Amino acid sequence: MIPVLLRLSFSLTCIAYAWGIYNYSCKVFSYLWAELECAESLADTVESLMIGGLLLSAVCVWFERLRWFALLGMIALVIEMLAETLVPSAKYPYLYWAEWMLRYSTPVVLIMLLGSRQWSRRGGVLLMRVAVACVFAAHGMKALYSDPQFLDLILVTARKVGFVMSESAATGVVHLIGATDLLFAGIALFAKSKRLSWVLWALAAWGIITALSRVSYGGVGNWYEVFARSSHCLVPIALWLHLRKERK
Amino acid sequence: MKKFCFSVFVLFALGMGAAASEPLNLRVVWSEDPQHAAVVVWDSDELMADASLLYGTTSRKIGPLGLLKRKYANEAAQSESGLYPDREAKKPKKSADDWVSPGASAPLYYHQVKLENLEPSTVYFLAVKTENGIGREFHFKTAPEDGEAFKLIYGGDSRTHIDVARRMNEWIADLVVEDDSIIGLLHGGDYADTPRRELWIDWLDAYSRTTTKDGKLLPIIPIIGNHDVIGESPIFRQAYGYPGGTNDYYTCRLTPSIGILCLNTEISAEGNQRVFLQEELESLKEDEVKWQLAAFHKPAFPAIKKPSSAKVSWVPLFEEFDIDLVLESDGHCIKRTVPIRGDEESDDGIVYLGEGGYGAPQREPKADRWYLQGDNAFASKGDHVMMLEFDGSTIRYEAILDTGEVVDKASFQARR
Ligand SMILES: [Fe+2]
Repeated sequence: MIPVLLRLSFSLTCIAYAWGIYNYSCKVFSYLWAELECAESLADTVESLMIGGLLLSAVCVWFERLRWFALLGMIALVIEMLAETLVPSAKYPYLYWAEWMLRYSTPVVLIMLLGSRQWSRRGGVLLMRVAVACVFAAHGMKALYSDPQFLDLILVTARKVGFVMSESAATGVVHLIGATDLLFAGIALFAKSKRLSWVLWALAAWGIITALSRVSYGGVGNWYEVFARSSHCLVPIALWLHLRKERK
Repeated sequence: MKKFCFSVFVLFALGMGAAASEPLNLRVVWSEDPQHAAVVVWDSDELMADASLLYGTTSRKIGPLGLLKRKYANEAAQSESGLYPDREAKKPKKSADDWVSPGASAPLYYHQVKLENLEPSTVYFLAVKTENGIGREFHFKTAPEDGEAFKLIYGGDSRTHIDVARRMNEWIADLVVEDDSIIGLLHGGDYADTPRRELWIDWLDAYSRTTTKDGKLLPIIPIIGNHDVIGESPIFRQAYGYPGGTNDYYTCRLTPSIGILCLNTEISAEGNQRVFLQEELESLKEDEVKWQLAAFHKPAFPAIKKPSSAKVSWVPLFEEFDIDLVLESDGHCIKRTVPIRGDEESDDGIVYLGEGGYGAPQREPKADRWYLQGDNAFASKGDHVMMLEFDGSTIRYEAILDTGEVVDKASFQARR
């Protein structure tokens, strides 16, 4: 079950990114073309290779023998994140690596968990814990910075359900969420394994709620935004399953 | 003879000294009420805290040679001045004590003067007064009287290729000389790559090239872009005299019959800004303002990237209040969408123009998007600005490459 969840999570992430890049381009393109002044055709080729790598990974991750190909998708995600960090308009360059950690680390976790050595499996579990904590901590930090996108997610969703909310009220809610995210991230990282269950379920529930808020905000056309965040829900569940198995 | 040479040297040195604190890049900024108010901003290498602005409706120069001078009618003090901030490079761990940041650029100071109670469609002459005397005379015309036909230039994304921005501004100065009906320039944001001082010095110098040889200034209506807010930099506000205060959004009532909603895509679109937008649209409706436009940086209907928060938060209001035209930037291409209403093409829909080509490298638009297809739409790329001619019940629009070639044109009829 654990590998299935990890595979599903990474596969959905890769599909989401491939679709997003195909339709809306990506930061790697912007960086190569606008900052490094590479030819548009070269940037286009790199973008196409990224899409190819992501789609190949989305399939290969399901097959034991082909699992190393899943690293292609991971490389695509990592270089996208690198570009996101390097473009001059980067808003939180130091946070991106933590914010996206579940998205790009999943194939490594999977390969480590499927390894025959104990250190490899232990490393996989540790990486999962670190990634879960980093993702929630980074989102918590962005929330404490009153990220406008977070404010709009809450305000638009409230408006759509007929509830009028002021920006200051939404800022208060976002700050509260941010502080809770940070607290939960700390617990996920430092608490003893047997005390982690409720935190992991809370994080999984929060992961799916925040992912689905992209649809409540922008409509079903934003499905790929939900897919891109599937790891925020599925990886905490996978980690919970693993810890339960360990206890047994 | 020695004495004479020495005197000449001293005078020359003093002259050089004075030149160091000469006003640079003097510009006129329009925001809420360009018929009656403007902010004049200039820069300098040294702080000119005691300098003031002299202005009036008659030139200081008398006669064809201008050798005789008359006094200006008004003098205005600075409302704010200061040093543009610069982001310093971090000191390396093992560096010597006398380490100097390689990134620190030459200091540059800004000086803002607010002009109020101006008359519409009136030429104002102005000059900066310092302890060294009165500087070069410039002039600008306030926004036109209602009913006068005029042209407004729209350009966005002047970042990255400063040489292109310089060239385009020189070309715009030629257009201003040729065509007296051009009243100002609306900038869609992203003036420089980052809010670093040395990049903004280049941009402000480049824009000063829109000033004609005889000192005619081209007022700018500034909109904020994502590259202007990095690190919560105040440089946009300092360089343009706080258009929109500390929110960086405002309504420009260009004339009583033209309202341009200048919005900010870099903060929450849904919160206070949406409340502001709704109130402003209601007030434009109440005042029966004939032309209602919106302008902002990140597009709601982009030709390349994904839609900004404007699409969810503002487009429904644009459609509810039936605004006439939307001006966007950020994509670095040329686009004119089909008229859009309810996320589909509609005869009574709103057209979105964009997306910035005033120095930023140009990208191939994704012309297969539904709103860029057919005879009613256009998508291309090239260094360009857009010319909007307001003439009674018609806006005539042209996308013009910096070669002078008109690559797209259309006209829009007033809805009210
Ligand atoms: Fe931009």
